[in-house]
Amino acid sequence: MTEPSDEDLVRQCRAGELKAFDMLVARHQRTVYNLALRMVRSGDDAADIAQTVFVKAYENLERFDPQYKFFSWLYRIAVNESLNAVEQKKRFEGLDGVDVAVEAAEEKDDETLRQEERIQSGLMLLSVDQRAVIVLKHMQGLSYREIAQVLDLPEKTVKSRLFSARQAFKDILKRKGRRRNDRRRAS
Amino acid sequence: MTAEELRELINREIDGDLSPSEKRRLAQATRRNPQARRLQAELKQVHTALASVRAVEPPSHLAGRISAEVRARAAASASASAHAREAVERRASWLGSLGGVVFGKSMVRYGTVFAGGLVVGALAFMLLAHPEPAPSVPGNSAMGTLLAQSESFPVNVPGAQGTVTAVPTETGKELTLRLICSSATTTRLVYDPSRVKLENLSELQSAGGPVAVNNGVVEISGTGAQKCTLLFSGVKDSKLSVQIASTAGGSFHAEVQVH
Repeated sequence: MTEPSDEDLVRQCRAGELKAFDMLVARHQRTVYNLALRMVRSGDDAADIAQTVFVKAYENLERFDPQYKFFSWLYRIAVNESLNAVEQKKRFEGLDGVDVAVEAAEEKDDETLRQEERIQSGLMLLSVDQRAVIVLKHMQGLSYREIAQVLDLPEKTVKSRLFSARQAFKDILKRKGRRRNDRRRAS
Repeated sequence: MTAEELRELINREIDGDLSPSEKRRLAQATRRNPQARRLQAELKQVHTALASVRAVEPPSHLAGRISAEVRARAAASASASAHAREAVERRASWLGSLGGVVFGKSMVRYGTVFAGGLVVGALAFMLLAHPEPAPSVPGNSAMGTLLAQSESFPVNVPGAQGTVTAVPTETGKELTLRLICSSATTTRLVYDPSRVKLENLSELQSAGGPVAVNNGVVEISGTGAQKCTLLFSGVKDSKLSVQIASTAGGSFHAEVQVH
């Protein structure tokens, strides 16, 4: 038996079938959670964001336009919720956490984990707009057009933002590499 | 080719967006330009580094949390609609009675109410087009309550009344539920099994429905009495969530500090 498409499940949800919504959650929770995780870094915050995203999607299902893909619409809510969370966090905590995280990354034993931590802390140094395009392109594998739909931007803007974000990220990684080498030499 | 065009081609190459002719142009340009070759290599490294980050599995309790919250919202929304509908029906019935009194039943019987119908219809339109706002669902006010210490919290929502009591133990909390449900009610206790453990479930009584204990979710559903005592242990600062949703639109949500 073939799996029902997202659009079929949305139709069933609109008819009051909550089980259909559970299937949408099961299908997309991993993607939404990982998107939020890369945007905000904390696993607890990412889980809260994912919950808010799905609850909002459920409450606004009537407004979903079926000519678009369901996942693009879901991603859009996820990006907006992640940006809100980043804004709130900035207001309460400032940016002090980033340096602490960079140092914590260097203390981990596993080289793969250390590398992932370096990349994540590098992402946190990008502006949220740049971080969003990098995450959508490199970690979610979206096309330029899909990113444009999710962020509600012209494709041309998506490309130029992505190219500058990559350049900025490259410079961050380079700086981090230099600092790491300096520390190694000093010790 | 300008530096800007070159930068764009290098970036689009990484995204697999170049046509064969653009690929050839880029290859020619980078052969002659060592700076462009360096940028190309560095951006490819960035791409490889980002692609190496592995996806993380979401917490196992996440889907359960979302499902419980969506069901609570659906129940609240159904109740609000039912209240609004009742308000409209009350007004319609009142207008019907008024019509009967003013124009008399015999007139209705003999089909001579046309003029009166117009008046009543106009009145009904004016009033029904602006139904009174749906009353808020009382249970929603309980959302977000935190039971941190030894506390008992009343549950008094449409369809379910009773208490949730939390008593600290050495390693966690003992939670007692005592509910009388006049309509079908689902009570869910949702927790992160990597931080919280269900040690014991006792004094269980669920008159009308099943009890399910899955990974991170205890669910009791049905009508009538819902009673049970659950013993949880947990790591420091762990929490669990109590979610009660009745088909009458009652909705209660509280967080319990386990440890």
